[in-house]
Amino acid sequence: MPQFAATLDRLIRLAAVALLLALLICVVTGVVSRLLNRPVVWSDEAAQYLLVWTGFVGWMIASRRRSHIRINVFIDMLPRPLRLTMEVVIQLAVIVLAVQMIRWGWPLLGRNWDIEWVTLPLSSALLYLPVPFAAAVLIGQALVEIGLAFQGRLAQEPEPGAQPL
Amino acid sequence: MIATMSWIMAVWFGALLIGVPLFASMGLAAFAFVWFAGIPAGIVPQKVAQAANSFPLLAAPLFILMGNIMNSGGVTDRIFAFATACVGWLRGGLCHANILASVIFAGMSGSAVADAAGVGTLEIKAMKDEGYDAETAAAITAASATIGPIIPPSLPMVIYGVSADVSIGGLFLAGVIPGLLMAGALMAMVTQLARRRNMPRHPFPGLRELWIAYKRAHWALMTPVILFGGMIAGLFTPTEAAGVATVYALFLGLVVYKDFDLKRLPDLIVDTVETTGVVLALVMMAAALGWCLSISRIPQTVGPMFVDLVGSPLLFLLAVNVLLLIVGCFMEALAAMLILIPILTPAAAAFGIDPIQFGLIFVLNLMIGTITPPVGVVLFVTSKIAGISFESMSRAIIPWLMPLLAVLAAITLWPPLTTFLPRLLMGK
Repeated sequence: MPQFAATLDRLIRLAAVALLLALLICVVTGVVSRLLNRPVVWSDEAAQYLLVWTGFVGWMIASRRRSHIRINVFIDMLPRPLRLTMEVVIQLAVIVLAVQMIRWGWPLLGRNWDIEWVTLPLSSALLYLPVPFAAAVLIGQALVEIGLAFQGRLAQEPEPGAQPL
Repeated sequence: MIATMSWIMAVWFGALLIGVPLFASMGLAAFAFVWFAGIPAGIVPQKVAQAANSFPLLAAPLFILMGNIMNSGGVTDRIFAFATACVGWLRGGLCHANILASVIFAGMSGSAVADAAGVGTLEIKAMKDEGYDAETAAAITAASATIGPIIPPSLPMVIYGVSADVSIGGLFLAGVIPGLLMAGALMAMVTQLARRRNMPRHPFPGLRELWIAYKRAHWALMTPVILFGGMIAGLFTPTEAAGVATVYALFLGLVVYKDFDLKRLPDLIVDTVETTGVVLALVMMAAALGWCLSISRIPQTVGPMFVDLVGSPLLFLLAVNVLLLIVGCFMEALAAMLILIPILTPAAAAFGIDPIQFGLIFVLNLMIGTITPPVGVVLFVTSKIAGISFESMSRAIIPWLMPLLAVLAAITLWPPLTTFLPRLLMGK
């Protein structure tokens, strides 16, 4: 299991680097091509699709690193057993959301498969492709947190300042 | 539908308070609404993915990456050295230099945390070495870090612009005067304190030293010039400016200063994508929930309700300021922004308040929230850097809130402070 998690983390990391670099190249290509009076039409649309994928990959990384924003001030005041029970409830709520995302996100792929991008001969379904993957990572991480709670442990919170603004 | 949505919002708020991650509670609320309203649930993942399919939002990861690259190279120490050479000879010189460095860094980075963690680390160390107490050093650093997202580029403004459908270029321009006013107000306060506490001062370094410090920092100081010059000249949009500035930051680190290790780039990118993920997970879920809110006609009901209840736009703005300052104490800025935008912006529009002025008021309030306990991200960061407890940091920051609140009052009462530049340069 730890080996699977390590491989998954490595793949997510690779995807993150490749996607953000590709996104940067697309945006800069758009500017440079315009300055050279040879504007390319695909750069904006490609960059937007790359942003959607980058967002979902970042969503997965934030799940793995436990840096999604949540308010723990109040539940941290609870006695330990109740706090652990609450953690299980919270993670079950996350699983419910993720299952809904897969249940209703997956059909979007089939429904949009025939529709092409405006500027490139690629399928619009690619927009929804990362939804089930991100949801699957959410479920996996929530199960890890539930496992920890049953062992009487709580995951360490991220460093203050890991928040974005 | 209004009743259904009101119940769902109440349950959602409860879930938020018991620690359900914000994005998850928003997503669940959206699914609950479509289920109760009999709308096909496929609309939720569709809205979620489409929310990130946005050109202006591209600026978010790119500005975060640029800030990370700038912070990891030698740009920050050059900026601080230049700021010290400029104003270090005044009484309380390093306090002034701290603020000036934050203003310059604000023109390159769009986040208060990046400012506090980057240039703030240098500032606090230099001030402690010169005999300033750690609390004062940390408090000035935290207060001046809030200038970061007010002077463009600004990550909160990108998120606000996308979520509230306001021109990001307009918001960027609107932030310049308030950002400079914040610096001026903080410097005025330093001047007062420096005299009272007999703070140290450096001898005037001489024009030659000043020139040398400028030359060392020249290329870094050109970043805001390139950003603004390009935007105003119409060479690129604010979104594209983020890409150009990122390439420029890489160019500075790799070619000009040669102090950026390319092997660190993958780590910086992964950190950037993580932060982007936190931001976008919220933006995407907030878009789905926002759609549910608009279908249930809550914003259309809330706007006129506020107008009836409050009566005058000024009273409304004062109430918004109080609300946002209180919320900012307890909630992370991004979360507060995405929760309150769909409720407050329709009301502001109903009062006829300029959307750009309202955006600035909104962002400034929440940035002040980053330095107010108990949930102040910038306070956490600076107290850790300065090696002091969060409690003493919370006490030390109180007097430094006053100048920032004064600027908030000024931009609330006098709209031209925020609307003048966008109208002059963009006709907005």
